[in-house]
Amino acid sequence: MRKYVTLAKMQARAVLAYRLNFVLSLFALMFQLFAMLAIWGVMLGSGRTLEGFDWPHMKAYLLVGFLCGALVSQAADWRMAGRIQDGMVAIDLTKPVDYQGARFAEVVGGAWTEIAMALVVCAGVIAFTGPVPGPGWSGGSLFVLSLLAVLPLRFLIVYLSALACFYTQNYLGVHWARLVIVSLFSGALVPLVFFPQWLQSTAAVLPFASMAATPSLVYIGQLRGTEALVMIATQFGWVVVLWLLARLIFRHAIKRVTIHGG
Amino acid sequence: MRVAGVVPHRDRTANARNIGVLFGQRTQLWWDLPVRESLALLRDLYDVGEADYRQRLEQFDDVLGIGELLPLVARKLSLGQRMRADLAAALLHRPRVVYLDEPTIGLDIAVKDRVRAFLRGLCADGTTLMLTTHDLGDIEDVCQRIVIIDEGRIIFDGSIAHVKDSFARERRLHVDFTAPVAPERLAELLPGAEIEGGQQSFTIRFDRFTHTAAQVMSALLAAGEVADFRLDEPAIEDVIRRVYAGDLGLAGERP
Repeated sequence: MRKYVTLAKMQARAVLAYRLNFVLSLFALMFQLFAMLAIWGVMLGSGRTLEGFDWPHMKAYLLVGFLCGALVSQAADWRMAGRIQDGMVAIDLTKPVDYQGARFAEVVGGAWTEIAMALVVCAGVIAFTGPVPGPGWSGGSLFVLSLLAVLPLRFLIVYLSALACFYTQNYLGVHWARLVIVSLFSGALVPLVFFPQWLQSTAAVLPFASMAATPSLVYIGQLRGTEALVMIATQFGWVVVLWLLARLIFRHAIKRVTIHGG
Repeated sequence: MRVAGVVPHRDRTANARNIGVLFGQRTQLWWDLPVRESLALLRDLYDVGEADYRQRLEQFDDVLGIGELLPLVARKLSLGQRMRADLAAALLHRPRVVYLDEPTIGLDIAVKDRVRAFLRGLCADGTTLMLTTHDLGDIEDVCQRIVIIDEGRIIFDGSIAHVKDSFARERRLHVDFTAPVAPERLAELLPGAEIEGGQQSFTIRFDRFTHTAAQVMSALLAAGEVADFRLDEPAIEDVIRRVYAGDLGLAGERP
């Protein structure tokens, strides 16, 4: 266990080396957030309600989605793929640690900057556009629980797409495809209830809603009690399924490694 | 295939504990952190005890001068410094088998010598070294057994001494006399040797299994007064160059 803790600590310090790059790429996410806020602000202006969302609740929903989207969105993403592409994976494989566990430890270690920056942005939005409703005590604890599942889930989706580099040798396309699929099906930009029925039922059987929609809905209180617990259990269920799936794929992918020397 | 009793593809982590790896072209140091941090991580990855770790660092400081590198961020190291730090990283956990891929590539002469001396020390301590290199000096200085691969085919597998005995038998002695000497006289004194040149300067080519250098010298002294001489030792580099050029077919000896 100590080795994974040390790995996490190392990454927590290493991410500081890229703070400027990090702040800049967070800007990109931030503008996306501002655009969504502006659109929804107009649509839900002067007290209108759509599908049970009024403006303050929609704002809270989008901010939680933004926080979830900021996790594992930065250095870790390209780092994992890059090490596979340029063959550094060969060095990682000579270490007596579980490959997937080691990458997860690094992601956990690096996550603090992502969380800190996302919270700063959320605080800024609240300061400029007024307060958002809180989740209350019981909703709050459910929300924390739900949020806890988001980090491993996002890690696994990013890790799985990085593993694609074993087959594609290129990450840009995989990266963009993942971004689009995740932002659509996670409900981070548009709540899933606004989708046509067939798209909603598709999203329901995919793991992406667990990555943003569930914690957002728990936060604003649209999911509560047993219903919330079922959805949170679904989140952790996906963590287990994807963790095992990633292991399976890794075992196959690793046989494809050819690393050319100098 | 087993490495130190472990099947690597079936038991990756157990194998990983036994081996140390150095890629000359890639670094296992954390690019953005001081060298000390990378080594501390490896200490934890391999469960190296604190006392053992300190002792190891001192050792590395003695031979590789690692002490001055510890506080430096890896990306700011020169190639030579990086290689020394990477060597320390590869050997921190006292691996039984060490794979070195071009360990001296791009290093200056002084560092190269230090690295080779260090590797010789490792061998003497009973560590198995596997070295891939294009620098034949590495091989002559460090190795006992050599495998030559050409286009994926093993064309030789045997000891360095065997390569030299079989394919680098010819030695050359360059000699200058104080006065002209007749080539016929030299040929008479040294049957079986080839004599080139004339007047005062000659090159004698002889098989080191039929003549010793001392025999050749005493023959030359009998022929005239020697002003100066120089002996070319057979170099492994010549042999390999000729192998790749197709001049030599290496039958190979399997130990």
